[in-house]
This record gives sequence, structure tokens and C-alpha cells, in this order.
Amino acid sequence: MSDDRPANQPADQSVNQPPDQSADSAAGDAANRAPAFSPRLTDNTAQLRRMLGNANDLLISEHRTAGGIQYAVVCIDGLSNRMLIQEYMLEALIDSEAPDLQLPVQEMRMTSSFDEAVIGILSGDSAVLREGCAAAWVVGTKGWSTRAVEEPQTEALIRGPRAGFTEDFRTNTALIRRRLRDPNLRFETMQLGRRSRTDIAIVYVEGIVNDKILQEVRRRIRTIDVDDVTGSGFVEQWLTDHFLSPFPQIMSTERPDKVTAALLQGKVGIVIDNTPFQLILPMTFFSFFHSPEDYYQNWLITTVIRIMRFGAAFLATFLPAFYIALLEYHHGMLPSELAFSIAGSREGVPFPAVVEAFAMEATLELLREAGIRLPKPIGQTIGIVGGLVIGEAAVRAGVVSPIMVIIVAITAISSFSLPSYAFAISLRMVRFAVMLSAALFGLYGIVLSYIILNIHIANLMSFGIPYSTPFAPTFLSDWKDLILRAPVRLITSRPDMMKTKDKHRMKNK
Amino acid sequence: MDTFEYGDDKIGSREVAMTISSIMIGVGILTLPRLLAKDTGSSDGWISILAAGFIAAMCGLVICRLVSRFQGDSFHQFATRLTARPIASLLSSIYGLYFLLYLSFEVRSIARISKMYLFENTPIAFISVAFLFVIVYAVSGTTAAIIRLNTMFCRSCCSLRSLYCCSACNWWTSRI
Repeated sequence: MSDDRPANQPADQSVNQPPDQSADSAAGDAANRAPAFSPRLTDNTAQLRRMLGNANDLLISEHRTAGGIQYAVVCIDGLSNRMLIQEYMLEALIDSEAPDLQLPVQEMRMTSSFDEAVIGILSGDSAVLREGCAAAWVVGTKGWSTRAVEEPQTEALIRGPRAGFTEDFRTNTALIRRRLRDPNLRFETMQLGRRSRTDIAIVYVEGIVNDKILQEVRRRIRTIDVDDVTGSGFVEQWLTDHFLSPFPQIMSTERPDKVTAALLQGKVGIVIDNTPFQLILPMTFFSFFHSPEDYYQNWLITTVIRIMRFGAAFLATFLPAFYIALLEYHHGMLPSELAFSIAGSREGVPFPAVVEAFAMEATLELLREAGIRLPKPIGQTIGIVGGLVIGEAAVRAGVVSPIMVIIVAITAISSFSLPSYAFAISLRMVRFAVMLSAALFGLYGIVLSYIILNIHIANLMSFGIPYSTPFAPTFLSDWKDLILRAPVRLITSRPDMMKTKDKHRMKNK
Repeated sequence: MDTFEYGDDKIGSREVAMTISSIMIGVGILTLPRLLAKDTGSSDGWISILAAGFIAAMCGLVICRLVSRFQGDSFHQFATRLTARPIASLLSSIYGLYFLLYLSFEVRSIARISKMYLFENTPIAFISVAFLFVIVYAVSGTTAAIIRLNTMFCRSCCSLRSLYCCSACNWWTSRI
């Protein structure tokens, strides 16, 4: 960027702006381009006022130094650290007798463009203007009220760090840096969104990550061109390879330990301002079955739990379909006693199994959705209403059979036992399609939908890596950490499938 | 949005082995023990299995050698280079016809099995069409995806088929 940038800038501050965006003015309106700084201080402050629409929270204070030079300090109330400005900047400014500006602050850069100054002011920095100088200094005084680092709401663990990402960009990058004191950890920072100017950082470990993946991530991020980058979900959907697929191909997480573990596997992280959900890519089908806790626990326990998760995913997708198929088409496949028992419990139920299953599964999804929307204090009501009223009363009234309630309960439990919410919800949506095909073709329909699902997964790619890796482009050495989680001493290398530059996690093995 | 090619441009020998073996085994393995037992009537069935397997393996070998010599070319392309253009066209159309018949045989037999066990009243055409749609979906993706699909299914299919064959052989030997 500008040559005036002092050398003490942090390394990750380099702004790699997309070329088409930097040309535009702060307001995103090319026609309203700001003029250059004038040597007169009052002209400059008036221009800043005008550009920001004479805002109420814009603070412009003018001071005369001991040396007799007139200065103006401009910042936005609420975005800047007022203490820092007052105690260090203003006092030093007023006391200074030197003809040039010297402030006891860490971050300071000179700019001759109004746009850059305004963007600096709007991101919490303050601009210092001097009489007779056609430029401004942007001083780093960011400081707004942020949420404390708390336990992640959506990814709680029993054993593992309790820290989760917050909405503050700097806190989040610091959380990653704290876990990885590697000088090769890189943050490529840029601002996206014509109006929102959201900070985004591509995070990776130089020397581990595959350059081709990194280039592809950079290229795709450069294509983002909208006025507002609304959170990581938007970036995820923009970057994803197959946006028509129900399956997530990029993982979003609230856990810094998950991000750092992924970085060390050769993956790339994306940290986005204003959201606690950061992205990890590329992702494969199987990585959605892995939880950070897998590595904090004994390998045997982890392996058993992982097998259970695969079973749970299967149940969550196919169990209601099996119920439909067996009841509507293939009574003969059930053991006769079980068939009698089900038939007995279904006596008096006026609907075919398909209608029953669809109604109950839809109710379950409704309950889930309502549980999110309800305010916390009355959140428990949904459990009572859902569990007792609908379950118990519907069975008593003979609208659904008790077996159906069991099926719905098992599918719900299975889908919530998966570590990734985004993946679980896509499986739940797929479930309805599988139920439909079971209603049309019975077990044959289930087999066909299973094959279709496999075809779909085989076709998916995540940043050039097939979604079914390491199973279908086979990387046998990666199977150590697929369904089985080998003891930590045996996982000596990084995943082969990531084609990392540095393959070894341990020496001499 | 194009992606960088990874694991896509080259198909490994393992993947090819799995694909070829699943094509060679096919759905025929299901009826093989019964048909053998019906025609031979004794335990000499292994001779014909060996002979048929040898012929199939030789055909596979020839195609493998040709494909690996002309990497990246289609069948028609390297047939044109090896022979004259009309002969190549003839060979390609025979090849295409063979696969058309092969596909219809496979679809038909899967539909027949499904009809036998699951659908007594459904016309066989509907069962076949449903399966054909699935195949169309698979083919509409990339070639690499089909190879990946084969690798995914081959392992489970091979273990299931060997189980099935074991039980079939068991039943067959117990009858003799």
C-alpha cells in the first residue's frame, strides 16, 4: 500500500485488498469521490464532517501544542479507546514542543487519502490532522466493548478447553496465535464487502499447507464482491464448490482448538469479523464425524464412540425409511412376533405408516425449531409440550403408534449426537427424501437412495479434494484417524490426503 | 468455479483394479453358482469358472495394456491410431453395443431379483427405470466420481459377494 507505513506494523496487518474495491470511496459511491487533503486544518475537518454526514458520534477536538502548532484529533465515540486518546495522545500532543508529530503509541501510519482516513476512523482508529500539512496520521486506538471469551454454545465438550471464539476479530486471531506459537503461522488480512468492510483473514501455517489449496482459497475470496459480508455463513456459501448440495463442504466452528488442529493438518482457516463462527477448509465427509474431544480421550473410547457416531448418522438418515418400507411393503421380513407386536400397537391408527412417519418427523423438526426460538426462561416448556403432550397424547388418542414415537425419538437422539450441527441438519433434510423413496419403492427405494447419496458424495469436491477422501481416493495411512483413532504415538504423519509440504508430525518415526 | 485438479487427473492402479474387478464380477456372481450347478450337475464346475475367468482376465489385460499405453486417449482415439479409421469406428460401435447390452443385462437382472424378492405385482419396467435413473445420475457426474464410487462400493460388495459365494458353495456341496 502506501510507502509511509512505518516498519513496526504487525506482519498480519498487510491489506491485500481486491483491486476493484480499493478504487471506490468509503461510502462505496465512486461518484462521490473525496478531494485530497488541503493544507488548511479547518478545510480538512469540515471535509471529514461532510463525508461522515455530520455524525453525532464523530468527535473532533482541536488542540494547540506547546510548540504552537494547531492539531485536530478525530475519532468515533464508542469505537475508540477514549482513555488511550486522552491520556497518551492528547497529553503528549499538547506538551510537545517539537515541530514534527511524535506520539507514544504503537500503531501509527500516515495517509494522504481521505478515504483511508475515513475507513480508519470508522474502524475505531483516530486521525490526527495538522495545520499546514496535507496529510493525516491514522493512530491505532481501537477499543470497543466486546464479549468475554466464553464456552462455545454449540460445541461443548466434557474434556477440552472452554474458550470459544467471540465476535471480535482481534480476540479471535489472538486465540489462534495463543495456541500456535509458530512463527510460520500466517494471517492474510483483507477487508471484504463494499459497504461493510468486514475484516477477513486467511489463516494457515506456512510450510505445512499445500500451496495449490491456498491459491485457490485466495482466488475464491477475491471473487467475493457484495456490499455486506454477513458473517461466516455467507462466506461459506460463496466459497463452497457445490452450493446446490445439502452437505456442508466447509466446516464452521466456534472452537479455536479445532482451528489450530486443522491448521496443523494442512488445512486453511478463515477468520471473519463479527461472528464467533470461523471456517475450516477443505473438508471431507468423514471429518464431520470427528470431534476435538476424540484426541483428548483414550483412543479405544474414541474409536468406539466414532463407530457409534457412524451408526447414529445411518439411523438418523434411514431409520424412518426402514420403518415405512417394512410396514408398507415387506411385512414378511420382520420376525413374526415383532410383526404381531407392531401390528397390535398400530391397531386403530387411521393413517398409513408413510403419513404417520412424515407427520411425526415434521413435528420433530418443528419442535427443534421452536426450541431455538423460545426465550430461555420458557425453553423447558418445549420439552414438556413436545415430549409429554404430543408424544403421550398422540399415542393415547390413537393417532400414532408407540413404535413410531420410538422411531422419532431414536432419529432425534442420533442426529443430535453428531458433532457437527450443520452436517446433522443436512442429514435430517436428506432423511425426508429417503422416506419418500421408501414410500414409493420400499427397501428397493432405500437401496436406490443410498446409491444416489453415494454418487452425490463421490461427485462432491471441497477445494479440489474429493469429499469421500480418504476412503475413495484411497489413502490407507489416513485410515489411522478415520473411523479408528490410533493411539497418539502411532499417528506420526499429517494426513496424506492434504498433500502437505511437511509430512511428519514426529521425528525419527 | 473451477477447482485445482487433485487426485482427479490420475486414477491410481488400486482404483482401476477395483473398478475392473467390479465390472468383471458384476451381477453375474449371483446366478453363477446356480447356473453352474444346473449345467454341470457335478463338482466339475470349477473348470468352467477357471476357463471363463481366464478369458475375461485376458480381455481385461489387453484393454489395460492398450489404455496404459495410450494414456488419456479414448477408445476410439487409440483404435484409430492402431488401425484404419473405418475399422476403428466399427470396433467402437461394437464396443458401444456391447456395453449397451451389458447395461441392459445388468439392469434387467437387478430388476428381476428385486421383483422376485420384493415386488410381486410391480411391472419389471418400472423397477428397471428407477434403477436406470440412478445410473443416469451417476453418469451425469464426472468419470473420476464413478471410479470413486466403485472404490467405495467395491470393498463392501466384495466382502458381501464372497460371503454369498461361500454360502452358495456350501449349499451346493451339501447337495452333491
